[in-house]
Parts: sequence; C-alpha cells; structure tokens
Amino acid sequence: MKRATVAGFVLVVAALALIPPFASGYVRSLLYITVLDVALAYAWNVISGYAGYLSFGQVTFFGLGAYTTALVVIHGHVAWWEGALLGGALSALLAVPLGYLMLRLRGAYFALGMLGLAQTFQVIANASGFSGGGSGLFLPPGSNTLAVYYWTLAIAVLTFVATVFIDRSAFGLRLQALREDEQVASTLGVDVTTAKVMAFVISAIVPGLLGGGYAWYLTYIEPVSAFATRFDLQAVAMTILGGIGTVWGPLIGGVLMSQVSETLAAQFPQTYLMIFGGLVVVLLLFLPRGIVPAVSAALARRRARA
Amino acid sequence: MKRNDLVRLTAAVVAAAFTAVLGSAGVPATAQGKPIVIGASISETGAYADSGKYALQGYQLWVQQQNAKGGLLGRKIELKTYDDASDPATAVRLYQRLIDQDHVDLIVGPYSSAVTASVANVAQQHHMPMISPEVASTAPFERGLTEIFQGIQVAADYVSGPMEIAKEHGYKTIAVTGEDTLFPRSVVAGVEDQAKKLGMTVVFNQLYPHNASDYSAIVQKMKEANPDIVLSASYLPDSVGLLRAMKQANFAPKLVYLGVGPTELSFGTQNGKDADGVMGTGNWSAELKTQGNADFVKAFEATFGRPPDYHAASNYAALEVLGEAVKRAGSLDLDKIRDQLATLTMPTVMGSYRVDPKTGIQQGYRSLVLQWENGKQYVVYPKQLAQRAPNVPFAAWASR
Amino acid sequence: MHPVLIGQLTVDGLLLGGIYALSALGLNVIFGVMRIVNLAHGEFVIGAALFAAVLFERWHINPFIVLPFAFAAAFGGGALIQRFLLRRLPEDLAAAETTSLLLTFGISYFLVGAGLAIFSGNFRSVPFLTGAWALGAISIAQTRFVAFVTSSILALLLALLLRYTALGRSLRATSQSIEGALACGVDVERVRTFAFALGTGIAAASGCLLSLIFTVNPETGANVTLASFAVIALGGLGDYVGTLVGAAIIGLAISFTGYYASAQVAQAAPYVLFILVLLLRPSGLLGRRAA
Repeated sequence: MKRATVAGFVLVVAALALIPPFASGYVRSLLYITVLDVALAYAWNVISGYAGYLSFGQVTFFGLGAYTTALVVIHGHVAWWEGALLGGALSALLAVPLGYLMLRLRGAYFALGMLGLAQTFQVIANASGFSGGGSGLFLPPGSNTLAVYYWTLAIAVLTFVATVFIDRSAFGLRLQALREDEQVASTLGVDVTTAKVMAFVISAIVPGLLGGGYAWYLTYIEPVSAFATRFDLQAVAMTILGGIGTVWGPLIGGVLMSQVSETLAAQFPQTYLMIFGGLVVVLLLFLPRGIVPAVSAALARRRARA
Repeated sequence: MKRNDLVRLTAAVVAAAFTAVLGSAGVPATAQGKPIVIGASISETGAYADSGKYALQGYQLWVQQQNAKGGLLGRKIELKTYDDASDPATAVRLYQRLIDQDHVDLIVGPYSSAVTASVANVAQQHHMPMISPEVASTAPFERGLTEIFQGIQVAADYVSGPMEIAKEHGYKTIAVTGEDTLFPRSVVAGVEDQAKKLGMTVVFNQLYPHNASDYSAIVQKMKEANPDIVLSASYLPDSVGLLRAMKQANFAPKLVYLGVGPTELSFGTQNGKDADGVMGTGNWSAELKTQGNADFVKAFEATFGRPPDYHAASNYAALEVLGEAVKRAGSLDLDKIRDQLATLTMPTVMGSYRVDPKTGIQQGYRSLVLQWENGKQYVVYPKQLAQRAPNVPFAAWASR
Repeated sequence: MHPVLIGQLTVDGLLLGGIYALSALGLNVIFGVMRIVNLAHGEFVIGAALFAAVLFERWHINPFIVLPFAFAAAFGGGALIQRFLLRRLPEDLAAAETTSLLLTFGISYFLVGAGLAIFSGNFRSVPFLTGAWALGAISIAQTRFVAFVTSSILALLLALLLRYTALGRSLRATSQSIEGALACGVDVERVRTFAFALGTGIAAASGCLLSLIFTVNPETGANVTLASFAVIALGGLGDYVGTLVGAAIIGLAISFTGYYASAQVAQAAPYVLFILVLLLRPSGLLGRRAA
C-alpha cells in the first residue's frame, strides 16, 4: 500500500482515538455507534463482499456475544472485556459447524437462511430462563462508554487491516474466484469449502467480540434489541453504498450513512425513514456498485484522458 | 496516482463528516432569562407506539398551562423531545444528546421498562434526576440507582384488583398468561402467592413471546384447564389477538382480565361488542376524583380535540411533580431537586404521589380496574373510586 | 390423544396456513419469475391492511369491498415500480440479486416511513366476521376460513395460468432464461412487469383479508416478509401449489408445537423448518423445480 494511504489512515485512526476523551457523552456515543457499524460492515464485507455470500444474519453472532458477556459478567464476576473475548471465541467456534451447514445454500437462500438463523437465536434467547427470557438481563450499572469505544475502535482497525490482507492475499483471490464462479474455481483446484468457511468465521468472530461491548454499553440486554435486524441492515447498506468487496467501501459508506441517519433521525423523526429509504434507492439506481468503485472509475477515466 | 487521490478523497470525506459531528456540539448558553428546557424521548414509533402521541400531549399541556401561569422560577419552560422508536440504544444516545448538546435543564423518563433500564444509566452518570412516568415494573429501580423515580403504579399491584373481584364472587381457579417481557412478567410475578392468600388456585401459567403471531394454541390450553378467570398481562396488540382467539375458540371464562391493553381506547374500536366485559388495569380514568383531574380532562380536550388517555395523564402528572420539586428546591440545583423528588408527597391527577426514598419505587398511586361496556370504560375497583359494580360473569359469545 | 383436540389443532393449523399462503403467493410470483428478493413485500401487505382498517374505522366500508380496488391500485403501483425502478438493475445476475435485495430494502424503509406518517404507529384491525362456525366440537374461525379458501383458489388459478396459458408459458420461460425467452420472441419486459404487478396486487389483496385477522401497524411488515419467505422455501420457488403445502406445514407446526411445547417454541418453528428445508431439500419439500 502506498505510504500516503497508510499515513492517511493512521491520521484518521489517531483522530478517532484522541477526540473522545475531550468530547461530550453524546459525541462519544455517536462515535461509538458509527465505529461499531463500520466494524460490523467490514466483517460483513468479508463473507458477503469477497466471498459473495450475502448474509442477512450476522447479528446472530452479535447477539451471542452480547449474551455471553452479560451472563459471565453477572454470574462469573469477570470483567466485561473478558466476557467479550469469550463471546468472540464462542462465535468463532459455532461459526465452523454453522458455516459448513449454511454455506451449502446459495444466493438469496443463503441470505434468508441466515436471517432465519438470527431469528431462531432470538427466539431461543427469548425462551430460555437461563438467558433471562423475555425480561432480558441487567448488567451492573455505571458503564464507561470510553472503554467500550476503544475496544470497538481497536477491533474495527484490526478488521480493516484484515480486509487489506485479504484483498491482497492468495486467500482473498480464492474468495473472489469462488464468488465469480464457484464451480469453476473448484474445478481449478481451489478448496472452496475451506475458503468460504474461513471467511464465514472471520465474519462471525468480529460481531461476537463487539456484541459484548454493546451489552456493557447499554447495561441491559434483551432478545429483541440484541438480535435486531437493524445491525445487519446497517452493515449491508453501508457496505453496498461504499462499495461491496472493496477495502475502503465500508468505511466511506459507514461514515456517510451514520451521519445522515443521525441528523435525519433527530430532526425529522417521522420522515427520516422515508428519506433514508429513498436515499438508498436513489443511490443504488445511480451508483449500483457503490461509491468507491464509481469514484475509482471516474478517476481512472480522468487519468486516461490526461 | 490514482491511489493518492483516493486516499485524499477518503481523508477529506471522513474529516468532513467528523467535523460536522463535532461542530454541531453546541456552545452552552448563559442561564439567566433563558427558558428552562425539559428534555425527553417519546416512543412515537416502534413496538409501543400507540401511547406516544398522547404522552407527548400530556407534557405539552402541562408546559402550556405552567407558562400561562408565569413559568417555573420566573422563567418560561420549553419542551424538547425526540422519538426513540422504542429502541434502547437510540434512547441512550438521544438522552445524551439532550444533555450534552441541547443542554436541557431537566429530563423526564422514556416509555417502556426496557428502554428506561438503559437510559437510567445515563441519568445516573450525569446526576440528573429522572421521573419515569410509564415504567411500572420495579426491576429498573432495584439496581441501586439514586436518580430515578417511578411515576406510575407498581406492576405487581395490578392483578390484585381483578383477583379481589374474583374472590368476592366465589371464583376459584385462575389461568395466567401474558407477554414474556419485563413489565408483564412483573405483573404476574406475585400471582401464585396472592392466589394462595386468597384461597384460589392457579391452574395454568404460561407466557407467550413478544410478537407472537397466533394465540389459538395458548387459548386452547387455557380453555382445557377450565379456569374460572383469565389473568393476562398483555399490551394492546396481544390483548386484541387473545380476545379474538378466545371468541373463535368459544372460550368465555367468568372473568376476563387482559392487562394494560384493554385500557387503550383502540381496544374498543378494534373489538366492538366483543370488548364488553373485558377488564384491564388503568392507572387513571377521566372520572377519577383526583386533584385537578376534571380541569385536566377539559383542558386536554379543548387543546387537542380529543379526550386524554392514561399516558397523557401520567406524563402530565410527572411534570406536575417535577415542577413542584423544582419550586420547593428553589433553583435548578439537581441534587436539591433529586432530594425533593425522593421525599415530597403531593396530589396529582393520578392520585397521591409518594415514593420510597431509597429506591424511588412508587407507593402512593393506586391502580384501577376498568371494564368495558357498550363502547365505554368504567372504573369498577377499588370500591371507593368505582363508578359501578363489576359486571361478571363475562357474557357468553353467542349471546352478544 | 383426544381426537377432538387433534382435530381442533389441525383445523387451527390449516387455517393459519391459509393466511401464510395468502401473503406468500404474491411474493412467490415475484421471486419465482424474476428472482427478485422483494424485501418490501410485507409493507405492501400491511399497507393494504392499514388502508382497509382505516376505511372501516371512518366509513364502515367492508374490507371485502375494498379488496378489488386495493388489488387494482397495487397492480398499477407495482407496474410503475418495475418500469421505473427495478428495470434499472444491472444485467449481471449476481449483482442484480444483491442490488434488488438492497433496492427493495430501501423501498421497504420508505414504505414504513410513509406508513408511519400516514397511519401513525397505532395498531389497527377490522372487527368484522370475528366469530367461528362450529363443526361438532370443533370451531372454525370465520375470517381464517375465508382466507384459507381464497388462498387455495388463488393458488389453483395461478397454477392453471402457468400451465395452460400463453402468458403462463412466457412467465415460465422468463424465469428460466432471459436470453432463451427473448430468442423465442417473448416480450420479457412486459412479462416481468406483469409478474411484479401481479405479485404486488395479490399482496395487497391478502392485506385486506389480513386486516380482519391480525392487528397491524406500519412496522409489522417485516414479520410478514420473513414468514412469506419461509413458506416459499418450504413449498418451492415458483410452485404455487407448493406454497399451499408449505404454508399448511408451517401452520400445523405452529399449532401443534404451540400446544404441546410452548408458544416460544412455536415462534421458532417456521424459522427452524425454513432452515432445515433449505439445507435438506433446497428445491422445496415437493422437490419440483420452478414450474
């Protein structure tokens, strides 16, 4: 990667790291949710962008992470981040068999199958007394947004770096090959199953780690908000807007979308949904591959003409 | 160098976005002569939406009336509200926005126990006292937080009314159900114990999940248990669904109590004649002989063109209490206001406000049992406040 | 195992299935023919339901009377959406699937917002035909029975349309291969427009009936969308009789697990079935390829 790019990125991360201690609780919350959404978008980008398996159910692992953390904090009296680590580990473990199962499906079936999986997990959380059922779980109050924010930022940066590696590595090439045509890739000797399961695990471990932070931030979780489809939909929207399967897509899409959402939602609560939905539709019609590729293409055309 | 351009573009975009965020973090204004701002979030959308509009109007009426009387501490009052869409994370952010960005002087609590549980943390961290006008479950108040206060009757108190009525009429067996979420669970928590004390038996006790699509199976099970009465801790959509399923299964026990759902005005619209005889818990009724209630109802109808419901009343009462606490504190000193809220007692349109100073749990307000008849609801319990006697047994479906 | 109980649970299950089938048929037409995952499907259904509920509230107009108008309006609206929005999807099928998912997701948010602005978040339903007929000791809920009959007739009509009419052949051709259909002289654009319009029209009609059965608000669309997809997965894409079968199975599963296990398990039933079928028999329970 060109040095200028790295420098630019480091600058951005530094800004994100240094602003919060001096900012108000509201700005911290806003930054937290933005960074969270961007991190989830990057995770989603791996299985859906690079591997081409569009998933509408990564929140399965987010909720799993949130509940794991809540339970070990309440019953095990461990620190929340230790709980979050456990949530990530559990997600990775479960992602292997789940991946093998679910990745046998294709296209819209996979997307909806994953949605069904998320709903199933939500219902399980709702039904079992162990998880507090419909009443949810109360965590000890007095959480520190700052700590959760840094945790989330660290994971977001790691996920970004992982994306860069994937983009350039043989692994990434294998994913893109199976995305274009899985049968051909397989015939050419690519171990498609291992590749896509690995991508799935990566896309699961990140939400798993982040869910724990979320539970700590809210100090209360219950099935509906822990497994909310909102998380997947935001990740999807941001990535596709920015450019699916690209390195910078989720970041650009994420930042733009969260700013727009927040401003609209606060000022125009009734019409915000209409504007948001309409915006998505309009952008898709005119920028179907996302902003980053469109910008790259425009720049390339400019270079070619010069 | 395509890459460099792209990097610069990215950096510019990201920088611009964050500048916009930080730039919008406003500059605090000086206090004197400026209006007192009260901030809150309302659930105008989301799962608990029916109440949102009424709740907002309850706040608005109080502010309007108070301003006409000269405001609070000699300053005008302004209301700043947002819609949290019944989502806890959104509500947290909105309250932080109200406090950090909009610099409100006072806050009042959101709707639903789940949302309040998360927002309470914010209130506590900012040392801003908060009355929750609509949270009836006690769990959010049992976490040792000193800044939150309950502005409505306790959930566990709800079922004692219908159970007393049942006992008086010699009914013995109870089927219990309700939505499997925080507040309804608190409502049914004490049923088994209360039943024992009254010499009644619980013959069925199962909850259904939030957002259940169909109630036929659970109604079938209840029907088989052959209970004298049904006690369900339901909200509006599920109470409608349950009642319909009961009609379709031709299940008509002697007493039907469906939680807080029946007291919503649209329960009557959605069920027509089928609603007759259904009981629900109201925290308030227009005919209640509480301080200022008659005037409140008249003023509300004059201002908004329709009669208030209990959400409007409880929100109005919350501001009545907050206003009084500020007056007695003599300033906007948050600690003084907090202490006032914990210890003061006063009459409001909801009844007599008094909380447990340690937890903030409501102890003064009493819940009412309302029953539908011919498109209207009447208070049937407690006896001192009742408008008429309870109409039991519940009429058979065929006879309607 | 009391026979009357089993009978009642079966009836309840089948009738519930009828409702699921009704909302799924419209989606199946769209998904089956165009491979477009219409995430806004639930909003079309609920929009019509709310519309019918308000008409009843204000002017006591019977939803059955509203139904043909709702169908016509949605048919027209669907045609417009196809002509001006969906037509612009990229030719590349993989990108098209992704884009259509997001496009309809955007449309669904738009419709939820519009619904909230027009109807507010209040829950509504229509209190009409709320009773039940008695068949011996078994009760048959009236509105559900009507929904069941309607969906059965509709499914049959659609199946007949596909097999015996020229239009049906064009629909099938288009769903199998766009180039092939073009080569055979099929006006693919018109066929796709018709398919989307028909699917939307059916969705609206089902919404009118649903307003009698469930209590809805602008945000309950998501449940309908998910449930409809579950039905289609079970029954098979493009297979309309399969939709009935799939819906019946889901209805029976909810009914029986709701009774013998718990309401919570019943809630999970459609999703678990959905995933199982997707994994074990991806072409649907009846195993027939798209008609």
